[in-house]
Amino acid sequence: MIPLEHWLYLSGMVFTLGLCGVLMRRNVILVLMSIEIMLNAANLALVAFNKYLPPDPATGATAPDGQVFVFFTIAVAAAEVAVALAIAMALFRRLDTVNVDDVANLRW
Amino acid sequence: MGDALFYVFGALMVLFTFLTIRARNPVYSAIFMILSFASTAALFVMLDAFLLAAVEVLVYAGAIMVLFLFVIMLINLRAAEHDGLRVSPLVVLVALTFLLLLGRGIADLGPVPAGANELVGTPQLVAKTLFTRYVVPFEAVSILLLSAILGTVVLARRSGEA
Amino acid sequence: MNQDLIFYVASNLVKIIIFTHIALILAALMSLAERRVSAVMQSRLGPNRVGFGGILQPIADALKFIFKEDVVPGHVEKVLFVLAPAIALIPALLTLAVIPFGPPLEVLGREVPLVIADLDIGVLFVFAIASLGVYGIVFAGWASNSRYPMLGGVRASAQMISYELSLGLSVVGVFMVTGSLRMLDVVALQDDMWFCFTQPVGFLVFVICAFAETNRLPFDMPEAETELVAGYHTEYSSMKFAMFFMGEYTAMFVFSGLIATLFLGGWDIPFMSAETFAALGNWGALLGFASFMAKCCAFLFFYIWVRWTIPRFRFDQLMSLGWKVLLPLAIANVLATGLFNLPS
Repeated sequence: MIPLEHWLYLSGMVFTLGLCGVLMRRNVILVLMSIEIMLNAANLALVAFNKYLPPDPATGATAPDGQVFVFFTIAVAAAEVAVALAIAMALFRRLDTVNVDDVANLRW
Repeated sequence: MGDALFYVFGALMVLFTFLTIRARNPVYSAIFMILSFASTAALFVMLDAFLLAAVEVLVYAGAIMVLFLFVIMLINLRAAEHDGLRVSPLVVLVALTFLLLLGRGIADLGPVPAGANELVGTPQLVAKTLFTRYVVPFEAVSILLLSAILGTVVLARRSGEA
Repeated sequence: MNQDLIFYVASNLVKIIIFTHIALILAALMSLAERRVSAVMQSRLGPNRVGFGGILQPIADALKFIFKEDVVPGHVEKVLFVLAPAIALIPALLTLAVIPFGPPLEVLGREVPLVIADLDIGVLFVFAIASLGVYGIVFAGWASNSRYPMLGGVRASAQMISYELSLGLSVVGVFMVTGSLRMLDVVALQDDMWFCFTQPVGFLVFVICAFAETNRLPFDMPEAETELVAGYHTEYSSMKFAMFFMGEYTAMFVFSGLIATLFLGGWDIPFMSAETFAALGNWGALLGFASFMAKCCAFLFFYIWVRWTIPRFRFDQLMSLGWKVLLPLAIANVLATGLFNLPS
């Protein structure tokens, strides 16, 4: 059986990679993808935690709380991507760029 | 056997994620990200979260990444593809510090149950929890999705159209 | 190694080989059927020279495809260009895994269900894998690196996302009644009454969306030969071109199988209960298998029939049909099913 820590190390590594992506990429689409990677790493940790959650003493069974959280994360991620990509499209239409450094002044 | 699969898919997930943030061409980034999500789905299956594995492929790999590719193709990123990584010492420092702190936190986790519990994420079990204990957050998410739809429609409308 | 395990592995291998071959052979026959049926509908003869009544035409076609020069234009993204046809074909074949072909067969005193994997998440698995099928088209369009394929790819991605929603929602009604995503449970519950009668709206929406998801006329926007030359496979030749067709026909077979399973009672025959099938033993299983295949073939014929009857939609019409008609209909169906099946 894989110990919980190994799942968490894996999740942490992927999360850090996502963080590097956000910090290093200048393309707004890639920045968004990196944010998705971070959310996904968190999902993995949640599911792993759920598997090792002690059973509820009342029912004797482990509730799938962590898996339900992941459901919410996925829904939020989908909503976030839809809005963010619409913003990226609007950005491209107005300023003809998807580079985050070119839109640092927050107005046009 | 099962344990070896964890290391295989874990390594694949890290590898594909690394390639995602590193690929120069956004389309290749998207491809590697799809593969990374596929490895995540495999890991979910190993954690007996069958429903989530299907949802992961359906929503992330099947819908969100199609949306990404759609936008990448629509604004034809070929022109702007060679932005590459901007590696500065500060970023590396931040990432390393973060990784170190995270590792430290996991190492200090305290007593961890050694073995996993019997928890099989069948659709019935997850749905029961979702629609009983978490019914209020569930409704809140539906409102969030609705507002996201409205926001997207407003943003995507070309200026000048009524 | 104990005997049960060996039997399990062996029986599954045999099932996988047989089912994929059924799908691929049917795909080949479909390419013939499409031309013969369209010929009949247009008062022509169609290909009838090779073999008896043209039955060997697919083999002749395959030979021709193999011996044609495999052109890879210089301006393409090589890796993706070569991978795309395979990406189009593989998801279609994978989805076969959860489709039940018939009642359980009895072999060597053991029961063998005629489904490769009866998953808990059944239909969700099909949707998840089928949603990956679009990448074959998108990558083909992008890797070709020229105008028309690119447009085909962009259209495919928009179309798939739009119709997947209605497709998923249209079957929710069925699962509200069965309370299970398992394919065998869905079939078992249709013993008395097929879901196409109790869920007519869901059935209608599902069928329309199936046309859109398999890129068939009247929704074949990604290829639309009168607008986009040949859409995403304009630059393809030889066996790669053939693989797109195999992928399309296999996907059509999978969706026919899904419609048969979800709405037309699977292997059920009207006025024949599950007990009758069980009483007939292996003959019952074969009868059920024949009934399932008959339903699939009938629906495949329907695909061709519609193709030569209804003209292609315009892209904006396609989008407004998906978002303004089918999606509200599917949601209304879920609501109505909920109201009619209130727990007492």
